[in-house]
Amino acid sequence: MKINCPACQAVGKIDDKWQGKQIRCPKCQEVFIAQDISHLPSHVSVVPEPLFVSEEDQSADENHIMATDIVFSGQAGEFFRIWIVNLFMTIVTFGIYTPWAKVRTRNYFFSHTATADTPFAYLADPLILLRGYIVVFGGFLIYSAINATFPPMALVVMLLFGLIFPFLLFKSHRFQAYNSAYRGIRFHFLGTLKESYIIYLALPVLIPLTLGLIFPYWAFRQKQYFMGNMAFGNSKNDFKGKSSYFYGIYIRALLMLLGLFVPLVGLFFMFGFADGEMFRSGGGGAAWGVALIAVIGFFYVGVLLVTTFIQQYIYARITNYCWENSTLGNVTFSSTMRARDLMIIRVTNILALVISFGLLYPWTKIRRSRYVLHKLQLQVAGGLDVFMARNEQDQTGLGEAALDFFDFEIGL
Amino acid sequence: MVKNHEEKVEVSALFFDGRSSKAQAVTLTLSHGCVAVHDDQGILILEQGVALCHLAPPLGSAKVELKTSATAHCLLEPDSAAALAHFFPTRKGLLLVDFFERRWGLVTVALVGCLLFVWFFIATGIPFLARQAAYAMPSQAMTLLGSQTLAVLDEQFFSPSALPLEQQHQTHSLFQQVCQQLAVPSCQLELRQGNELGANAFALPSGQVVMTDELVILSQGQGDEGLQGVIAHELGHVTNRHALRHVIQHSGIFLLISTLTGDMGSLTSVAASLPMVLAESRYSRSFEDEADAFACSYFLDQGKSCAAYGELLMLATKGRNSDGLSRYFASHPPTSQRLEAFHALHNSTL
Repeated sequence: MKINCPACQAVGKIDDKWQGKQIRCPKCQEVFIAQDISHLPSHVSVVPEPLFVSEEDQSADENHIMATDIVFSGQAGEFFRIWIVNLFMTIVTFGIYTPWAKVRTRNYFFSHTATADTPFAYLADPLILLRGYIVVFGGFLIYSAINATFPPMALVVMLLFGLIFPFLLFKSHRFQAYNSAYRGIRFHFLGTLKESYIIYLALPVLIPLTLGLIFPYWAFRQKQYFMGNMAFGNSKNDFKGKSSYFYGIYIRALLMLLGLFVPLVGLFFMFGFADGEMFRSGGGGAAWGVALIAVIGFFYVGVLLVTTFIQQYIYARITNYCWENSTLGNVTFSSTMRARDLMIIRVTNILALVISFGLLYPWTKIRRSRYVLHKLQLQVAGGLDVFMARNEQDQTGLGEAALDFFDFEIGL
Repeated sequence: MVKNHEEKVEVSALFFDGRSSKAQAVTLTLSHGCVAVHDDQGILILEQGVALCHLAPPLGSAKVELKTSATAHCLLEPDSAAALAHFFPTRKGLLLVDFFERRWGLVTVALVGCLLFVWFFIATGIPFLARQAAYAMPSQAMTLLGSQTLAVLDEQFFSPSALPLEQQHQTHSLFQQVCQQLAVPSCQLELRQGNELGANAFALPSGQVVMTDELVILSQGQGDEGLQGVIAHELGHVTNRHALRHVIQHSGIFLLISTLTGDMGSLTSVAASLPMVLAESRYSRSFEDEADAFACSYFLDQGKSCAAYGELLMLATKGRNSDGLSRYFASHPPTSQRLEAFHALHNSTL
């Protein structure tokens, strides 16, 4: 609904639930009762001269939609220096620096990601992260000790971890969102713990029972849990994705997998058969050994390329879809990633890492982030100035740290 | 530090009140220990004492946040932030980190430092710590660990020994004899059919030594001495607690690499697994060398030569390629190298 401040006459848009409640004017700090003015004739509200007119606002009104790019300005050389110093400090401090290194890295990526000329910010306190790391490190030591002395017990520990995983994931989502901000407004994750247990404990148990048929549905629920519960300030993301699209993508991925694998396996057996024939007829020797290695190598590279392509296909399509079905206040999104590009980036990144003994890691990270972020675009109706903050409560870093250590891929 | 109280710094910035997502172009003035924020029409938006503000540490070419109240902040260009930095009590530590990050020379020094540390830690640190931990382990735990391992091996590879009973007894008494000669108490021999593991012997943390039928049969050509050598070698593993140290070193390497790379399970772990395998096989080879030296000194103490043991080694490892690149991944040193080491040991004691 549309409101205006009785003191300074500023006009703004807020969620309908504030109707009749006390609110504070973001401009003059005046507290007043929110009342919808959208039904009033437009000449009643006096639109004040904005104090600051950003570029995207100049021609902006509520009906005018502006396409706004996400700009990623991270540089491989600069990040390389930060990365090496992080590594060095981590070693010198026997690992205690780890949370500072993590925050510095995240901060680098957030503050070099900008839209409408303002960057994102990562606000986590390294001391909170450190607490989480210590707990997780202790857990890992206990697990290792149990695993070394009495392996069957380790299985029980793993089961216990499975039981607390949904809790950690829920905490992690909350922590990550809460510590991400844009223009001084924090993000929030509003999902419930109960839903986390349904998605990360109940559904995984059902997957083998249904012979994997609910797997795409499970993937959908995970995305819905994450995207649909994300909020920027007091504006909740409206996620309209449907599980049927996920089924379509997974079926296509399966068909592609078959389509690409059958010729590959066929080729492999053809070569292998020819090899065997030559071997038996005594015409072998070193040359055939080399040929056999070449065939196995070819097969291995083929499998790697096919699986990478399928993975990236699923990632690209589903990420694009999730963005396109999200509406955050007056903002909609479009994402145009292509599986082919992602596959080329991934394969060349792996090669670069192997050739450089890992030293090109910063370059690979910057490169992929640049691609993913540059393919994302915002469609803003009337400017990015209309979002409001929400009341906050503190969170602990335990969840994030736990996930970080064991590394479950949750990404956007 | 004495500050010039007349000093006045003025920079332009973006202001965010923390309540709305509106960005405001402002002028930030710092004088007399006070931060003042004025909008582009010169109207005062906010005034705050320097002590209540917080300037974030610099980070490369990123814009820097200056917190001006519990919710509001200003976003400064890195140059402006640097100009204001000395007014604020930023923690010295992160300023030093930033100083390093801006200089390629110092980054190179840090890189060399990292490589040296990792090399030193893998070569010396982890084995040292593992040795300390292994000797601190109570014997009950070792017994438990040993019987667990044997149960797994029995299930996956072994079947009961198919040797004639008499040969089994002979082997057992030979084992007891070597144990007494070497004064290694509470060791036990387990005979098994090795199947795909072939002619092989293992020392478990519990002091149990597993020997395969295939190895016993293979050793017949060398008389008792070949088998004595193998037993002494395995007892070398037992007395030095190699099996346990191996497990501990494995965890150590895993912990080190996952701390350094920061994320296991992602793309980097593909690259990270290679140094892990290399380091582990290096550890394993040094254990084998230690056990070989133990076996050789057993023969030398009795005035015998290790020749028979060497020959058995040759036979048992025949057909296993340990040349070229695969040498670096192998768990045992190449047999030729091991034999050379025997000669060296032999000559040095003569």
